[in-house]
Amino acid sequence: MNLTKIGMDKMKKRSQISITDFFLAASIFVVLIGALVFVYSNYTAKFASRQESSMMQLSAIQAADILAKSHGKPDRWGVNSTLAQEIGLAQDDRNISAQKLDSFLNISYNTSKELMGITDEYHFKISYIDGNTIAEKGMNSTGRKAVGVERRVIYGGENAILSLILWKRDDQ
Amino acid sequence: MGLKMKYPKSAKKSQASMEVVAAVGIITIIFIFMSFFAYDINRDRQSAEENSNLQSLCLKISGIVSQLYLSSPGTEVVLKLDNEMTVSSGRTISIISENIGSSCVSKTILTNGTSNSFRIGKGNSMFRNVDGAVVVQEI
Repeated sequence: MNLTKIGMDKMKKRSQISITDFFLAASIFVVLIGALVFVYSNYTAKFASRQESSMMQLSAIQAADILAKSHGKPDRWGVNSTLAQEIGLAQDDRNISAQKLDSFLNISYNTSKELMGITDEYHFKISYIDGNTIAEKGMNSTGRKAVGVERRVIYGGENAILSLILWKRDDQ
Repeated sequence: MGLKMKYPKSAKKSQASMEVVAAVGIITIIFIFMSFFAYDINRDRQSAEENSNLQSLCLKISGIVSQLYLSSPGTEVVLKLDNEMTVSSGRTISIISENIGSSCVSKTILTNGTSNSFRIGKGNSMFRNVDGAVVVQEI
């Protein structure tokens, strides 16, 4: 009788151990899967963020180039800014027209965004090489992401820097 | 005459098989869950990849348009489009695939020569600077 009891206890122990092992293994498996999901979603978010930055960078480069190098449309939009279809500040390649710059500053912020083909917020600044600001327009970044582009230009016969910063609002 | 306490063999076997059934059941549930999850992830990834490709193409076109605009009149670029493209109000470029579409805003106005809102089908298209305006036409 005693021998039989001992045999039963052993068997119960074995069965209990194997079930415990199984649940331990299953738990580890689930934890690993959870970690994998976390890493994957983190990677996806980082990838999307990097792609967004690249797009903003491209957009900023194109917009700054067009501002610095093109005349805008129509060519003499600086005389009457309400006729402007496209904004370009140059009178010649990278030589900024004072009249166009003035007109640009007088256009409303939202209209200027439309005319420049910008969907993000922007801050435009043109300053002399020594840092003295010639003109500024737009809003300083208070958002979650910003990219900036600078172009060397000539203003009033002097070297200057045209800077354009695009940024995204928190809700964008 | 003594009482024999013996664990029935059949009971032992049935207990063991219940454990196996429980284990197999749990594993099956985990695998079913995993399969759905993997399918979902794969679908998201494919969709993101397709969207990313369309967005890249859109930005590429937008870049070409900007460069053409800044080039001298008469400059032209031939581009082979694998997807349909629509332009609305001269600014919004949309690239359309079978299931998904992506759009971006051009820095300059695009036209097909007659209108600022138009559609360009798959295949070769010519982008030209015509007197300072960028014109797109299928060829």
